[in-house]
Amino acid sequence: MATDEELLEKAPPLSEQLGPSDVFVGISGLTNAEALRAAAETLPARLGADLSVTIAYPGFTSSQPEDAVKQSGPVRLVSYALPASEGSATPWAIAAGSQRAVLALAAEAQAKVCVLLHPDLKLLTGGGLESLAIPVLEKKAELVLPVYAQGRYDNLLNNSILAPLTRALYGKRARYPLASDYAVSSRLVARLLQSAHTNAHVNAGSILWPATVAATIDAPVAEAVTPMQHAALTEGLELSAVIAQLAGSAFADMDHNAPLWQRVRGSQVTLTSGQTQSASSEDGQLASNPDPKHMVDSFLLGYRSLQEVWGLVLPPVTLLELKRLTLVAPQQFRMPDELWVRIIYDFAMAFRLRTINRTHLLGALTPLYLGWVASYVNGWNTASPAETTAQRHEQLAKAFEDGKPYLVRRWRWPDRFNP
Amino acid sequence: MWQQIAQSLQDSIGRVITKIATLLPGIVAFVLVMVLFLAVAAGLAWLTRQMLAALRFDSRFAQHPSLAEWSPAQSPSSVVSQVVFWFFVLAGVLVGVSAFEAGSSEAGISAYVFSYVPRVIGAIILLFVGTLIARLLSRSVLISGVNMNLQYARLLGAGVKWLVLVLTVAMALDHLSIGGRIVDLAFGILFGGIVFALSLAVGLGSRDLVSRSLEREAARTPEPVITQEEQLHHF
Repeated sequence: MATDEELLEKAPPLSEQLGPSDVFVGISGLTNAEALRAAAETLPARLGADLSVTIAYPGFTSSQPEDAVKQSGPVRLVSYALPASEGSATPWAIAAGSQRAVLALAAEAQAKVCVLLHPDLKLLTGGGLESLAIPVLEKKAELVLPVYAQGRYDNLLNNSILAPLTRALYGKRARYPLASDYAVSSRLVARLLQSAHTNAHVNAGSILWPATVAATIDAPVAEAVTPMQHAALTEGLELSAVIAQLAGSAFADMDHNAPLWQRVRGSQVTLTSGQTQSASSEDGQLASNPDPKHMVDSFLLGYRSLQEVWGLVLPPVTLLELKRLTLVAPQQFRMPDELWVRIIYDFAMAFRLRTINRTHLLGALTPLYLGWVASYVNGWNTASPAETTAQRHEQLAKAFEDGKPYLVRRWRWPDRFNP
Repeated sequence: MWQQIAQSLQDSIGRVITKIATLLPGIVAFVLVMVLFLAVAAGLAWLTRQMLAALRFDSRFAQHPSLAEWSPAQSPSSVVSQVVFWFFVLAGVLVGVSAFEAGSSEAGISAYVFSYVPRVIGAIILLFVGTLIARLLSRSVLISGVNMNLQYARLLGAGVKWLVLVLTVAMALDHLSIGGRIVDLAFGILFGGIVFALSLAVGLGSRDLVSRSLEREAARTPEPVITQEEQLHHF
């Protein structure tokens, strides 16, 4: 009698079970069976009837018969097992694990394009999938990232650190470098899998950074405007833990790709399809601006208590500028972009040099981040009515680009005197 | 009478000079051994530093996450070379004591010192680990406290640091058998006192705060206000 291992060896590979796919869609979490079935039926008409489409899903949020889904139209549906994750894993680490599994399946199915989707299926049901997949199919881009609708006070961590840092380092103007949905070419699928394999040796909970991987092979990146937002998956998570996870992962990625980004100058304009839309809170539609006082208080508490830690990480001139900030009233609190950029670069340097324990280092960034948020909120109180969120983010991204020589200098000569 | 006093004084001076004369070779031997071992220790420490620099030990050490999390303020190669230096200095002291014993008529000194050395090494390790833990815990508490918006985060951090340090010193002294029960007693009183003081501070000092907080909760009416959290989305 054949053992389980022998049966597995005799079983045909997944690519043979599936046949080659043009478009491989992977859903990175438990999803709704009915919505998946309805969307799957419309896909051939939306993408082109001559394209073979496969959708991989890990399971459903409620107990529903799988046959109801498997019989839905010409689109092939396969289920895959979600990789096991630790209880303490953050939503980004869990999503990265699912994305790795989907990418591995797409590689097996020899897909021309792999589209990764958030489990809420908003992009699949709302018609955004084509805008991600088609530029890759038409070979206009190898990575297509979404541009979500966002309000003035949405995605602050992304807009203050992740997006401008990615742009300054790798020259790719990706507004959502850590998007839940994106489309990649077969070449990039292989590189992402390779990168995930390398990072898994260093950090078990590592996050996938598609824009960074695209930059390593100089793959063209495009953006597609999608008029929707996903609900934040951060319930029960502390801000400091999220900052530690996301900024820590970005810094680790930065350390890993140092030879690449030190050669990059400026940034490339990204091909964008669709028109940017703002969420309801944009352009003064909020009843009132948030009160920055409690954020300024957090910053002041950090300044009073974390001198010992900040003193190890930040140069004297930055500490002096932070001291000046402590002397102003909460409503006048403004942290210049250049100062914020230097703080991020200095923290990245300390992360690389392991000046202090990395958990402590990233924990000490939270009060400074709240200081930046307070300054950002105050900035809108004095901004001209014509100024938009995109302009404000562009200013900050430009400051990150302008400050890059400082980072490169410190990175290359960390022991040199830094006033 | 005076002759007898003078005679006994001369005898005692003679005994002292004889004693010094018998000790001198031992002291000279000890000093010579120490000088020799200090030179050897310095040379070997320098050699170790050069070898580690050639092997790029610091950068290799930094690549190992679990080791580098515990990195002290100095570079790892500097720490290793210092360990080598002090190891040879300690060896020099032990050999010097043996040389002193051989060079003089004093017996049993080296046996006593040798039996005490393991305790000293144990106490040094205790102090080193205790200081490391105190620093790590203190910084963890401080940063967590600040991120939780606790105004007394610094006080908490310092408190944790000193509690661990006091515990470490008490353990080290106990390991060295210095102070006997006095150390145990003093530590018990000090540690218990700190905990008792904190209990009193929280119990009595925060009574009003707790009652105000409860009153506020009871008086709160549900109203559809937009909170900070609803207005600001960090992710």
